[in-house]
Amino acid sequence: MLKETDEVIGKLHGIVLLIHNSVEFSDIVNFLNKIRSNEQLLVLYISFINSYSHIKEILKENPLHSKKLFVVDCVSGFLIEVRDTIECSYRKPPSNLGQLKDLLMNNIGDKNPNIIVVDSMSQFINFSIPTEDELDEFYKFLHSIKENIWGLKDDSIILLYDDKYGQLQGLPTISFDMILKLEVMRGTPRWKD
Amino acid sequence: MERLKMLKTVEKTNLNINYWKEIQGELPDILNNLSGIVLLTHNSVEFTDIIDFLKNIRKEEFMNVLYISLVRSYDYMKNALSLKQLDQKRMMFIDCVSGYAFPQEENIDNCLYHKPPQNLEEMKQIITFGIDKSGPDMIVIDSLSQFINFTRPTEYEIRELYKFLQSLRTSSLNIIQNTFILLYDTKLGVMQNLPKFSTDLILKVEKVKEETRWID
Repeated sequence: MLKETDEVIGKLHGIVLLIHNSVEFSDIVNFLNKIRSNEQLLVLYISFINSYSHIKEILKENPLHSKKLFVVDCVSGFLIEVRDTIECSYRKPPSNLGQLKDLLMNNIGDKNPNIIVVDSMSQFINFSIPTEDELDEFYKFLHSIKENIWGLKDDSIILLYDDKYGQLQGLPTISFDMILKLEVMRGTPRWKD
Repeated sequence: MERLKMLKTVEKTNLNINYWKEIQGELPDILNNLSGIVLLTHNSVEFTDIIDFLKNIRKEEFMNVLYISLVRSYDYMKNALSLKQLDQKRMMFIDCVSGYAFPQEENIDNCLYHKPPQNLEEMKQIITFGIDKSGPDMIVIDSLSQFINFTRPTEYEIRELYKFLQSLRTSSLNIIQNTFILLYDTKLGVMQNLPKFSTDLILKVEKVKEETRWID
């Protein structure tokens, strides 16, 4: 278990796989707030799970400190006709890792972010029963990120993965700089008189 | 209106957040330098997996290990050890499982039988008894799951555990007995309120039990 949480997350950089137990967007905001909290950073958030309108609502109650957020909303584009704003662009969800890489490259070129979050990789791979082809594609994707996108060693790309599909096996440990697991325990507080 | 109020009171909130870091690559180094109070949580691993884990602790060092078992009998562990050797470690067992069956101890030189402890205070007495008998370097307690459920611990359970860990640190942990491994089976659910500050390290072993894929 990570005891030196602030030290490790505070200095997070490189390609990080963040496994979680179906956390809420507010938990992700809390996590992002721990990263390099004394710097002004731009976060590029590529979302396949939460719409920009939902993200905006959550940020009202859980603001991001010392970070500016730009969202690529791949959820709402399908549902309604929406126009890009200075804080969000709407795109179709990528169908495979090749398209995800293109989406990343285009937005990195445009925005030059310090932190990139992809929410989530569960759309592309299931680590509970990955096939050899899936793992092979995933390795290639990580490798190409390192080769083509990753020029600045102090920055971070955080790939989220929801472990609701079961125990993870075949994790590509070597291709990541760090693998973290975030476990949020939810429940009702015990009754106190 | 009453219905709405009721829903509001049962709204789920975040009770706790645990951060874990994957350490597969660093594990040999960590185990080679392991000491202090270590909580080892696992997903119902077999005793042979525990042997593998113990084998890698300070590999080059010869160690006396006191293994206090509340979940596996000595006969079972002896059988597993005959299949998988534990080099560089001399094991002494306290079997708290078969104690009720009153087995004979005369011809066994590495096992003592004891009644299962009812609480952590009795557990502490068994540890002291085992240390007096065997002078171990490392003590393994298998397992804490008998005393506490980290999924939904009561305040009393947490208080007793902290008291127990504190007493291990002040009166049992020393230059000779320098390592305590406390096993905990996570089958009861996601853990919260883990004793982060009273232990030196919390490890989580996840053994992936692969289901055979169907081939036509």
